[in-house]
Amino acid sequence: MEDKTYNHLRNLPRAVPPEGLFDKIEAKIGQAKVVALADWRQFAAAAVILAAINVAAIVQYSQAQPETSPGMAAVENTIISDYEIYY
Amino acid sequence: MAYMPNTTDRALIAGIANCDAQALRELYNRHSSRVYNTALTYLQNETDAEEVSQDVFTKVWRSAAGFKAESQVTTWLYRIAVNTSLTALKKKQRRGIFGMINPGQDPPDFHHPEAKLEEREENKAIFSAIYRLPDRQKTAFVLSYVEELPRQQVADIMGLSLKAVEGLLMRAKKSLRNTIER
Repeated sequence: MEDKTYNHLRNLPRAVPPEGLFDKIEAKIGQAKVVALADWRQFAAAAVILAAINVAAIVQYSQAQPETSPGMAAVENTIISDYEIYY
Repeated sequence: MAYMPNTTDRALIAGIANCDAQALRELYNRHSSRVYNTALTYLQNETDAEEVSQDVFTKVWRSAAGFKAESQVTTWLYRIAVNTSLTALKKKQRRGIFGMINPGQDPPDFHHPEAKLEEREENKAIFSAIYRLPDRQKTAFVLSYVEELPRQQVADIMGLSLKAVEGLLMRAKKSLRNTIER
Protein backbone atom coordinates (compact mmCIF):
# COMPACT_ATOMS: atom_id res chain seq x y z
CA MET A 1 0.00 0.00 0.00
CA GLU A 2 2.75 2.42 1.01
CA ASP A 3 4.72 1.96 -2.21
CA LYS A 4 1.56 2.54 -4.22
CA THR A 5 0.87 5.77 -2.32
CA TYR A 6 4.41 7.09 -2.76
CA ASN A 7 4.48 6.10 -6.44
CA HIS A 8 1.19 7.89 -6.98
CA LEU A 9 2.57 11.07 -5.38
CA ARG A 10 5.89 10.76 -7.21
CA ASN A 11 4.22 10.35 -10.59
CA LEU A 12 1.62 13.05 -10.06
CA PRO A 13 2.48 16.04 -12.30
CA ARG A 14 2.70 19.38 -10.59
CA ALA A 15 -0.34 21.64 -10.83
CA VAL A 16 0.16 24.77 -12.89
CA PRO A 17 -0.51 28.09 -11.13
CA PRO A 18 -3.45 29.89 -12.76
CA GLU A 19 -2.77 32.44 -15.47
CA GLY A 20 -2.85 36.01 -14.28
CA LEU A 21 -1.74 35.10 -10.76
CA PHE A 22 1.27 37.38 -10.96
CA ASP A 23 -0.92 40.30 -12.10
CA LYS A 24 -3.06 39.78 -9.00
CA ILE A 25 0.06 39.77 -6.82
CA GLU A 26 1.24 43.03 -8.40
CA ALA A 27 -2.21 44.54 -7.86
CA LYS A 28 -2.18 43.42 -4.23
CA ILE A 29 1.23 44.98 -3.65
CA GLY A 30 0.03 48.25 -5.24
CA GLN A 31 -3.17 48.15 -3.20
CA ALA A 32 -1.17 47.64 0.01
CA LYS A 33 0.79 50.81 -0.75
CA VAL A 34 -2.39 52.79 -1.45
CA VAL A 35 -4.03 51.56 1.75
CA ALA A 36 -0.94 52.47 3.74
CA LEU A 37 -0.96 55.98 2.27
CA ALA A 38 -4.70 56.35 2.90
CA ASP A 39 -4.14 55.23 6.50
CA TRP A 40 -1.50 57.93 7.01
CA ARG A 41 -3.79 60.58 5.60
CA GLN A 42 -6.61 59.41 7.85
CA PHE A 43 -4.33 59.48 10.90
CA ALA A 44 -3.14 62.99 10.02
CA ALA A 45 -6.71 64.22 9.45
CA ALA A 46 -7.87 62.68 12.74
CA ALA A 47 -4.96 64.30 14.62
CA VAL A 48 -5.71 67.74 13.10
CA ILE A 49 -9.43 67.45 13.97
CA LEU A 50 -8.60 66.36 17.53
CA ALA A 51 -6.15 69.25 17.98
CA ALA A 52 -8.72 71.74 16.57
CA ILE A 53 -11.41 70.48 18.97
CA ASN A 54 -9.02 70.84 21.91
CA VAL A 55 -8.00 74.37 20.90
CA ALA A 56 -11.67 75.37 20.42
CA ALA A 57 -12.54 73.94 23.84
CA ILE A 58 -9.71 75.83 25.55
CA VAL A 59 -10.62 79.11 23.81
CA GLN A 60 -14.29 78.70 24.68
CA TYR A 61 -13.46 77.87 28.29
CA SER A 62 -11.16 80.87 28.74
CA GLN A 63 -13.74 83.20 27.17
CA ALA A 64 -16.55 81.82 29.30
CA GLN A 65 -14.65 82.14 32.62
CA PRO A 66 -15.14 85.93 33.26
CA GLU A 67 -18.85 85.72 32.44
CA THR A 68 -19.50 82.85 34.82
CA SER A 69 -17.79 84.38 37.85
CA PRO A 70 -19.99 87.49 38.21
CA GLY A 71 -23.04 85.33 37.56
CA MET A 72 -22.10 83.05 40.41
CA ALA A 73 -21.34 86.03 42.58
CA ALA A 74 -24.75 87.47 41.80
CA VAL A 75 -26.45 84.23 42.83
CA GLU A 76 -24.46 84.12 46.03
CA ASN A 77 -25.41 87.75 46.77
CA THR A 78 -29.07 86.95 46.22
CA ILE A 79 -28.89 84.08 48.67
CA ILE A 80 -27.13 86.25 51.23
CA SER A 81 -29.64 89.06 50.74
CA ASP A 82 -32.49 86.52 51.08
CA TYR A 83 -31.03 85.39 54.39
CA GLU A 84 -30.90 89.01 55.49
CA ILE A 85 -34.70 89.22 55.37
CA TYR A 86 -34.88 87.14 58.55
CA TYR A 87 -32.63 89.44 60.56
CA MET B 1 16.44 45.94 -14.48
CA ALA B 2 16.44 42.74 -16.58
CA TYR B 3 17.44 39.52 -14.87
CA MET B 4 19.31 36.70 -16.60
CA PRO B 5 18.58 33.03 -15.95
CA ASN B 6 21.93 32.75 -14.18
CA THR B 7 21.07 35.51 -11.71
CA THR B 8 21.06 33.94 -8.27
CA ASP B 9 17.94 33.84 -6.11
CA ARG B 10 19.80 35.91 -3.53
CA ALA B 11 20.41 38.65 -6.10
CA LEU B 12 16.69 38.59 -6.87
CA ILE B 13 15.85 38.96 -3.18
CA ALA B 14 18.26 41.91 -3.01
CA GLY B 15 16.46 43.42 -6.01
CA ILE B 16 13.07 42.88 -4.35
CA ALA B 17 14.38 44.54 -1.20
CA ASN B 18 15.07 47.58 -3.41
CA CYS B 19 11.43 47.49 -4.64
CA ASP B 20 12.34 46.08 -8.08
CA ALA B 21 9.11 44.50 -9.42
CA GLN B 22 11.08 42.82 -12.23
CA ALA B 23 13.06 40.86 -9.63
CA LEU B 24 9.80 39.73 -8.02
CA ARG B 25 8.51 38.61 -11.43
CA GLU B 26 11.66 36.54 -12.02
CA LEU B 27 11.44 34.97 -8.54
CA TYR B 28 7.77 34.22 -9.23
CA ASN B 29 8.63 32.56 -12.56
CA ARG B 30 11.18 30.35 -10.82
CA HIS B 31 9.27 29.38 -7.69
CA SER B 32 5.52 29.94 -8.12
CA SER B 33 4.98 26.27 -8.90
CA ARG B 34 6.53 25.20 -5.58
CA VAL B 35 4.48 27.75 -3.63
CA TYR B 36 1.20 27.01 -5.45
CA ASN B 37 1.57 23.22 -5.18
CA THR B 38 2.45 23.38 -1.48
CA ALA B 39 -0.60 25.56 -0.80
CA LEU B 40 -2.77 23.27 -2.93
CA THR B 41 -1.75 20.18 -0.95
CA TYR B 42 -2.55 21.89 2.36
CA LEU B 43 -5.80 23.60 1.40
CA GLN B 44 -7.01 21.18 -1.30
CA ASN B 45 -8.88 23.96 -3.06
CA GLU B 46 -7.56 25.77 -6.14
CA THR B 47 -9.03 29.19 -5.24
CA ASP B 48 -7.60 29.03 -1.71
CA ALA B 49 -4.20 27.93 -3.08
CA GLU B 50 -4.24 30.92 -5.43
CA GLU B 51 -5.00 33.28 -2.55
CA VAL B 52 -2.24 31.78 -0.40
CA SER B 53 0.23 32.13 -3.30
CA GLN B 54 -0.70 35.80 -3.57
CA ASP B 55 -0.13 36.25 0.16
CA VAL B 56 3.22 34.44 0.03
CA PHE B 57 4.65 36.65 -2.73
CA THR B 58 3.22 39.78 -1.07
CA LYS B 59 5.03 38.76 2.13
CA VAL B 60 8.21 38.16 0.13
CA TRP B 61 7.89 41.69 -1.31
CA ARG B 62 7.41 43.22 2.14
CA SER B 63 10.04 41.25 4.02
CA ALA B 64 12.81 40.73 1.43
CA ALA B 65 14.96 43.28 3.26
CA GLY B 66 14.88 41.05 6.34
CA PHE B 67 15.99 37.89 4.49
CA LYS B 68 18.88 36.29 6.34
CA ALA B 69 21.60 35.22 3.94
CA GLU B 70 22.48 32.10 5.97
CA SER B 71 19.47 30.15 4.66
CA GLN B 72 18.61 29.19 1.07
CA VAL B 73 15.98 31.29 -0.69
CA THR B 74 13.89 28.16 -1.39
CA THR B 75 14.01 27.22 2.30
CA TRP B 76 12.79 30.70 3.22
CA LEU B 77 10.07 30.60 0.56
CA TYR B 78 8.85 27.17 1.67
CA ARG B 79 8.78 28.37 5.28
CA ILE B 80 6.55 31.30 4.31
CA ALA B 81 4.37 29.05 2.11
CA VAL B 82 3.90 26.45 4.88
CA ASN B 83 3.09 29.02 7.57
CA THR B 84 0.70 30.95 5.32
CA SER B 85 -1.04 27.72 4.25
CA LEU B 86 -1.44 26.53 7.85
CA THR B 87 -2.86 29.90 8.89
CA ALA B 88 -5.30 29.89 5.95
CA LEU B 89 -6.31 26.31 6.77
CA LYS B 90 -7.00 27.17 10.42
CA LYS B 91 -9.06 30.18 9.34
CA LYS B 92 -11.02 28.03 6.92
CA GLN B 93 -11.68 25.36 9.55
CA ARG B 94 -12.81 27.98 12.07
CA ARG B 95 -15.12 29.51 9.48
CA GLY B 96 -16.45 26.03 8.80
CA ILE B 97 -17.27 25.43 12.45
CA PHE B 98 -19.08 28.76 12.91
CA GLY B 99 -20.81 28.64 9.56
CA MET B 100 -21.75 24.96 10.09
CA ILE B 101 -20.77 24.32 6.47
CA ASN B 102 -17.94 21.94 7.15
CA PRO B 103 -17.90 21.21 10.88
CA GLY B 104 -14.71 19.85 12.40
CA GLN B 105 -11.84 18.89 10.15
CA ASP B 106 -13.52 17.00 7.33
CA PRO B 107 -11.38 17.03 4.21
CA PRO B 108 -12.85 18.80 1.16
CA ASP B 109 -14.00 16.85 -1.87
CA PHE B 110 -10.72 17.35 -3.69
CA HIS B 111 -9.20 15.80 -6.80
CA HIS B 112 -5.76 17.01 -7.77
CA PRO B 113 -6.13 18.89 -11.09
CA GLU B 114 -3.39 16.78 -12.72
CA ALA B 115 -4.62 13.37 -11.50
CA LYS B 116 -5.47 10.87 -14.25
CA LEU B 117 -9.14 9.99 -14.56
CA GLU B 118 -8.54 6.32 -13.65
CA GLU B 119 -6.60 7.35 -10.53
CA ARG B 120 -9.07 9.90 -9.25
CA GLU B 121 -10.45 7.78 -6.38
CA GLU B 122 -6.99 6.72 -5.21
CA ASN B 123 -5.87 10.35 -5.49
CA LYS B 124 -8.81 11.54 -3.45
CA ALA B 125 -8.15 8.96 -0.70
CA ILE B 126 -4.47 9.91 -0.44
CA PHE B 127 -5.09 13.67 -0.30
CA SER B 128 -7.92 13.20 2.14
CA ALA B 129 -5.60 11.19 4.43
CA ILE B 130 -2.91 13.91 4.14
CA TYR B 131 -5.52 16.55 5.07
CA ARG B 132 -6.33 14.70 8.30
CA LEU B 133 -2.71 14.58 9.52
CA PRO B 134 -1.70 16.81 12.46
CA ASP B 135 0.09 19.99 11.30
CA ARG B 136 3.71 19.01 11.94
CA GLN B 137 3.33 15.50 10.54
CA LYS B 138 1.57 16.98 7.53
CA THR B 139 4.36 19.48 6.91
CA ALA B 140 7.08 16.84 7.19
CA PHE B 141 5.16 14.54 4.83
CA VAL B 142 4.19 17.18 2.25
CA LEU B 143 7.71 18.58 2.01
CA SER B 144 9.32 15.13 1.88
CA TYR B 145 6.94 13.16 -0.33
CA VAL B 146 4.94 15.69 -2.33
CA GLU B 147 7.62 18.35 -2.80
CA GLU B 148 10.36 15.69 -2.65
CA LEU B 149 12.82 17.86 -0.73
CA PRO B 150 15.91 16.41 0.95
CA ARG B 151 15.34 15.59 4.63
CA GLN B 152 17.91 18.15 5.77
CA GLN B 153 16.07 20.93 3.93
CA VAL B 154 12.77 19.77 5.46
CA ALA B 155 14.45 19.99 8.87
CA ASP B 156 15.74 23.51 8.07
CA ILE B 157 12.31 24.68 6.90
CA MET B 158 10.63 23.32 10.02
CA GLY B 159 13.41 24.47 12.35
CA LEU B 160 13.81 20.92 13.69
CA SER B 161 16.58 18.34 13.90
CA LEU B 162 16.89 15.63 11.28
CA LYS B 163 15.94 13.06 13.91
CA ALA B 164 12.76 14.95 14.81
CA VAL B 165 11.74 15.07 11.14
CA GLU B 166 12.32 11.32 10.78
CA GLY B 167 10.13 10.76 13.84
CA LEU B 168 7.35 12.93 12.39
CA LEU B 169 7.55 11.08 9.07
CA MET B 170 7.28 7.71 10.77
CA ARG B 171 4.14 8.81 12.61
CA ALA B 172 2.72 10.43 9.49
CA LYS B 173 3.20 7.24 7.45
CA LYS B 174 1.53 5.18 10.18
CA SER B 175 -1.46 7.55 10.32
CA LEU B 176 -1.75 7.56 6.52
CA ARG B 177 -1.63 3.76 6.37
CA ASN B 178 -4.39 3.51 8.97
CA THR B 179 -6.60 6.11 7.29
CA ILE B 180 -6.22 4.75 3.76
CA GLU B 181 -6.72 1.10 4.78
CA ARG B 182 -9.88 1.95 6.75
